[in-house]
Amino acid sequence: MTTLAAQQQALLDALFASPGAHPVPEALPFQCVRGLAAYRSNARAQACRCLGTTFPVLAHMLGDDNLAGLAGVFWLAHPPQTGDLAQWGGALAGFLSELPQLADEPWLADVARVEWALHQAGSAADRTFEPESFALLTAHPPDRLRVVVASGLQLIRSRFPIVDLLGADAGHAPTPGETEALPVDGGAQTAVVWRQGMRPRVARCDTAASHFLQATLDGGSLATALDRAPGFAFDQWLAQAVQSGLVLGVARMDP
Amino acid sequence: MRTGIGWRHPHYREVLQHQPPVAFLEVHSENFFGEGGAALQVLEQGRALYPVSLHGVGLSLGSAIGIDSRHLEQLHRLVQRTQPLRVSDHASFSLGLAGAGSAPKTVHAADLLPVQFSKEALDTMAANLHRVQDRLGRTLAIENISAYIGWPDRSMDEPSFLCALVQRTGCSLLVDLNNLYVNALNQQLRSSDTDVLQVCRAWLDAIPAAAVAELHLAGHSHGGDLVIDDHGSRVCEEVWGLYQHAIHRFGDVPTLIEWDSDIPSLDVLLQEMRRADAVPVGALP
Repeated sequence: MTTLAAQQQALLDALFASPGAHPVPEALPFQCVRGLAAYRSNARAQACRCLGTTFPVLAHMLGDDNLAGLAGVFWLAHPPQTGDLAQWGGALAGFLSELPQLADEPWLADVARVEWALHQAGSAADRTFEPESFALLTAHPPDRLRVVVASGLQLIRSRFPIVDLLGADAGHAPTPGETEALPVDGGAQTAVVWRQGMRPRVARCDTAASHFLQATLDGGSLATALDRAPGFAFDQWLAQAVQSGLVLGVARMDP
Repeated sequence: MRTGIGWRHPHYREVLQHQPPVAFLEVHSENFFGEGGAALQVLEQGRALYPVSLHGVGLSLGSAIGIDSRHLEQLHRLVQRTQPLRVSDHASFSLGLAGAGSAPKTVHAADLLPVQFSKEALDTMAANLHRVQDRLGRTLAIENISAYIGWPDRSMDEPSFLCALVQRTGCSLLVDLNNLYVNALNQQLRSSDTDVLQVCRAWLDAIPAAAVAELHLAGHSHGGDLVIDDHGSRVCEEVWGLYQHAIHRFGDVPTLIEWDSDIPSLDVLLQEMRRADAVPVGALP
């Protein structure tokens, strides 16, 4: 290893060391303790700001102090790997699900999962609404067509009423007091996340619609998607899905 | 008019609606690395009204493990899309290996960490910068940073390091006057006989005018035993004095008012901008 590489690794080791273990490796200047503290403090503040922006409902549920604590330990356990901090946070749901301190609130991991999907939808590639394309539905058989869905569409299945927990129906996140009153054992829900225009959205998705959308996301034809969702009232659903921007059009399957 | 403002989220809408007269808008490149969505839409609207400067904080040009290829491709896509007035980043590193044992992992510190001013560091940064400039098809402006630790055994000083980088890569320099001042204040905290303003002026005098593409002005805060470059307040009077010196030395160089934390009303940014614009070329205090 070169001198430069060794120096840089020593500094990064010191910045990402566990609390209490903050070493000052020999490769670092000996009068650097205050400087290291400044860099660590800035990292903690950035981590907290970043999680609060990407996971606003989770942050609301945790409260400021718990969020700051979580941000600090998550930063050290799963450091950023790129210079785009918007890409940092994808591992949070898995991290939360393994935290013993949150064993009594297992739905928080699913809240993080949905919020990460919303975050990704916010910067997904733009797609345009193609109203003329729906004429294809009357001109071609379903096995030659596929449904074109919105940018950033994802399905998140939860054993908790995740959409209610996120406050999507009421249009606002529940306060900590309201969270305690929510029936967290009140049934599994599947959240569908997509972008309507420029606005990330989340809504509850019933079983048939989720099977249909999953088959579509997997690249299936309209016929395959309908087969996967027996009893699915496609025509009725399609009108609502187009209105909400969840479906943008229909396209011919690639030969 | 030479002065632009850092265009941050709280002012997106207000700038688009009221279109205040500013020389350019500066944005942080990484905030627009998405493939689509509202952020890019806003940037497109801003670009239709003003020249835009892309200022990066994450390229990690001094990294001993090289440049992150994905980051470079994202920047390339953004440059192609935006056709910016300038592209800039810092003379620092953030990306590297961390972790004890045989399997260290790649981490990004999300901060601007200092590199040693040595030949090895210069070789590394020049190679990384060549790669970036080759991919982007244009030169970058490289900014001096605030450093809270200093590496021992420097074989050259910071101006010599930056000037050598300019000579080897054809890049230009983005001189941040607040960073200079913060570094000198921290030097004074370690060595009380430091003449802060003299240190800063000597630094500026060591830089050839032709190398300077942009000047940055910002605020800082005092944390007792360390001064922090937090971009969270007005430009202090001493830095305004350095700005007069810099404009005298470098001429009518594009200037940026940076404000990234505790962001005030747009009016405050515009007041600072007008003050910078009012500094005449050739004037000295």
